[in-house]
This record gives sequence, structure tokens and C-alpha cells, in this order.
Amino acid sequence: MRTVSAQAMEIVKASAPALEKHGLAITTAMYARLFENKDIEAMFDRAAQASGEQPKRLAAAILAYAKNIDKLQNLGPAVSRMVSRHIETGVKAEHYPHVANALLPAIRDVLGEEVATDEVLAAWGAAYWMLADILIATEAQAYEDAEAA
Amino acid sequence: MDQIEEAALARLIPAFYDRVRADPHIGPLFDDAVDHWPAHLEKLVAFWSSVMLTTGRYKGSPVAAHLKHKARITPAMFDRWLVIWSATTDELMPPDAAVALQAKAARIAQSLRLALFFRLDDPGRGRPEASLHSSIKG
Repeated sequence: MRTVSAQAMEIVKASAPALEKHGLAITTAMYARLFENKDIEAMFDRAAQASGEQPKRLAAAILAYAKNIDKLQNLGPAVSRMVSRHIETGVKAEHYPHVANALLPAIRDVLGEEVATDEVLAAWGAAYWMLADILIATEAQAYEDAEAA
Repeated sequence: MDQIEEAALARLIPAFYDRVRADPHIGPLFDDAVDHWPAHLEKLVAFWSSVMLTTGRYKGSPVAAHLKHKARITPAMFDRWLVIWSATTDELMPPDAAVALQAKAARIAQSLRLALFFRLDDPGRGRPEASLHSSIKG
């Protein structure tokens, strides 16, 4: 089970101010990388992309996560929204590495390698996979329940 | 993490689950959920070996395993589990190792609780339902 070490948690929390300032630039860069894969791009709501709503939503979610990584119980409503949306759009376990591979380099692109050091990216990688494990399992269960119903 | 090794985990885990199974609050849940304890204990040693020693011996999804029993699990059961874990690790492990095992267990419990209970205290989903009901009644 993937969890985040105490040090990594501190690093993620410490990056909240930078995310507050540059979050939208990071998620915009992330979607640009992600949509190099056309199959993945087709899964997303084009209107929400065009209006900038989706990058804004994701930036807010990442910031909320950074602030609450040591208080996961505060993330219930956010996780609930993500799971519902993921189930509507058919997100599966195999999609998560694509997002990680787009998000982490986007953090470095925007913040620069002096701020987004290897250590910072490793901390965010661990944070990403801790949440991804939760989402993947709950979504898999929801798909199973839907099939059984 | 010098003080934790595979052999110590192989002693700790069975001793811990002996106590869990004897516990009136969470014992029955575990006893009903687990069919074959020797195999389950081996799996749990592999799990803890993976999370503490990053051996990668455990392949599985603890979140999925807990979701199967969601209907019977309450948040208080996690607290009970952690109390027994703290007492057992304090007793059987060197102090540094016990602290590390307790910290890891607390984080895993946070993740599992989020996965199991995120719908319960969710105002984002509760509100539209409530307003729907009131509009139906009205």
C-alpha cells in the first residue's frame, strides 16, 4: 500500500504556496502533455477544457490535497466528487500512470528544477499514488457494483 | 529501519492478530472475513515487509480488500485496531521500530478510512439530495 513518509508530507505541504500561485499554469501544462495521447484526450469534456474550467478545477484539487495530505479526513467531499466524475467518464486504473507522467514533469516545467527538485517530485509522486490507490480501488468497486446490479 | 527485519515481522504479526481476534470490538469482523488464518498471516507479513522494508513482496489492494467488508466496518474499529497495534508493537519491538510501525499504520488507517467513509460526511453530495427531497415534498 502506497503511503507518504513524514518527510515527503512536509515537502508536499511546503509546496502549497507555489501551487497557489502557479497551480493553473501547472495543470494547463499537464493537460498539454496528457493530450499528446489522443485516446486520453477523447475522454475529457472539451467544453470544460476550452473554458479553462478543467485546469482550474484540477489546480484547486491539487492545492486542497497539498494542504490536507496529513488530514485526509478533510478530503471526503473532494474524493466523492472525483470518484463520481471518474465513474461517469469511465476512468480506469490504467489511466492513472498517464496523468502522473504528465503532472510531475509539468510541475518541473513551471516551477523550474531548482524549486521542483528530484526530492520534491518524488514527494509529489508518492502523494499522487497514495490518492490514486484510494480512487482506483473505490472506482473498481463501483464498476463491480454497477455490473452486479 | 535497521531494527525491523523480516523475522521480527513474522513474530509480530501473528501475536498482533491473536489479540485482534480476542478483541470483542473487532475480533468477530476479522474472524468472519478470514477463512484461512495461516495463509492470511503470511499475506500480512508480506504486506508489512513491503511497506516497511520496501521488499515488494505484497501484491494486492488493501483498499479493495477492506471495501469488500464496508458494510460491517465502522470508523471506531480503526481506532481500536490502532490501539492494539500500538500496545503490541511497544511490547514486542525495539522503541524506534515500534514508533515507525505505529506511524505507518496511522497513515494507512487514514487512507483506508478515506476510501471507506468518504461518502458519509460529504456535504457536496448531501445537499442536492436534500433540496430534491424538499422540492418533492413542497
